[in-house]
Amino acid sequence: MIMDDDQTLIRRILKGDRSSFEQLMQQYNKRMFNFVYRMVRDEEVAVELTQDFFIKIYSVIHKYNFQYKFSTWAYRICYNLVIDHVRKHPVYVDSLDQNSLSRKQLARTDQVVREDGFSNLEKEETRDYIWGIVDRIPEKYRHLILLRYQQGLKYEEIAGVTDLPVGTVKNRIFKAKELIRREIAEDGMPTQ
Amino acid sequence: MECPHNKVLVRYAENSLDPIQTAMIRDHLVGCAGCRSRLSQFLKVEEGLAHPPMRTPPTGIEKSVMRRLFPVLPTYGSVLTFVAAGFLLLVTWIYVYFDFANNSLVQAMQFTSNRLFRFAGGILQGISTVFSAVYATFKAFSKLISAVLNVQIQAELLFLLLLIASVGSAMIVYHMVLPRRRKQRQTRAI
Repeated sequence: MIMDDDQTLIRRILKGDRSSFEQLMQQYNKRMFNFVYRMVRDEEVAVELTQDFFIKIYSVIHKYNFQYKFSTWAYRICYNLVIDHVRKHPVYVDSLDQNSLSRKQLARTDQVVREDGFSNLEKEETRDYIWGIVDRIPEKYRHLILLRYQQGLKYEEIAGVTDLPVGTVKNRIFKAKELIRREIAEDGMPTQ
Repeated sequence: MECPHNKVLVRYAENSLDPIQTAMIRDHLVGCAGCRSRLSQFLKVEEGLAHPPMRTPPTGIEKSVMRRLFPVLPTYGSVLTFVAAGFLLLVTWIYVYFDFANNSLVQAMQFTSNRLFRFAGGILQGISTVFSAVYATFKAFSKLISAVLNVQIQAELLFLLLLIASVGSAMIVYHMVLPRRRKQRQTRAI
C-alpha cells in the first residue's frame, strides 16, 4: 500500500507522537476553518467547530481505514459536524429563492458592481460578488459548492463525503450555478 | 441545431464535453447571441467560483485543541509538596496542643474546639465525636495487633499514618484521576 503524507502522520499519531498531530492540524486548519466559516458565517462558532473537529479526529483516529484517502474521511467528519450544527442552530439566510430582501441587500453592497458594469470589474470584485451570492443560496447547494470549489474535491469525493449519489451531486451543483447565474443576470450583468 | 440546455452550456464552460459536442456548441454559439449571453454568465460564475476567498483562521486553534486534548496534569512533585505541607501542619498542631504525657490526640482536638474555636464549636464537636469513634476503633485495633503479634503499637501513630495516607490518596484522585476522566467524557461527548 502506498502511503501519502497524511497517512505517515497518522501512523506516527497512533504511536503517540503529539507533534505529528499538531502538524496534521496545521495542514488542515485553514481549509477546514474556511469550510466551516462559510457554512456558519460566524467566526467564533467557526473556531469552536474547527476545534471540535480536530478533537473528534483525534478521538476516532484509531478507526481510520488506511485504504481510503484521509482527507475524504476528515471532510466527512467535518461535514457531519457542521451539518449537525447548522440544523440545530439554523442561520438566518437571505435565501435567493425566499425573498427579495437579498436582492435589495445585494444591490446595496454591490452598488459599484452594477454602476461600473459587471464586465469592467476587477477579478477580486467578481470573485467577492459571486461568493456573496453563494452565501445566499440554500444550504443543500451551498455545502456542495464549497466542497467542490473552495475545497477542490472531485464529484466522487463529494459523493463520499455527503453520502449522496454522484448524479445528485452533479445535478445540485448545476442547480446552484444556475441560481447564481440567474441572480447575476437579474442584477444587470451585460449579456455580451 | 437547437439552443443547448443550460446543463450542456455549464459542461462547455467547465471544458468537460467531448470534442464533437464541443465543436457543435462552438458552431452554434457563433450564430446565437442568447446562448453566447448565457455562456458568458456561466463563464463568469466559473471564474468567480474558481478563486474562493480564503480567510486566515485566528491564531491559537491548534494550541487550544492541544490544551483540550492534553490538559496539564499536576506533577508528582507538586502532589508530594501538598502532602508534606499537610503533614507539617498536622505535626505543628499536635505539638502546640497535644500534651503527650497527659492527653490523648482526641482530647487535644476537644481542647482545641473548646478553647479556640467556640463559634465553630458545634461543628468541631461533631468532628471530634467522629474522631473519637475512629480513635476508639484504632485503639481497639492496636490492642488486638499488640495481643496477636505481641508488639506495642501506638494507636495515635497508626491514626496519623492513616490520615496522611487518606489525604495523599484524595489529592492524587482529585488532581490526576478526575481530570483524565473529565477529558475522556469530553471527547466522548463530541
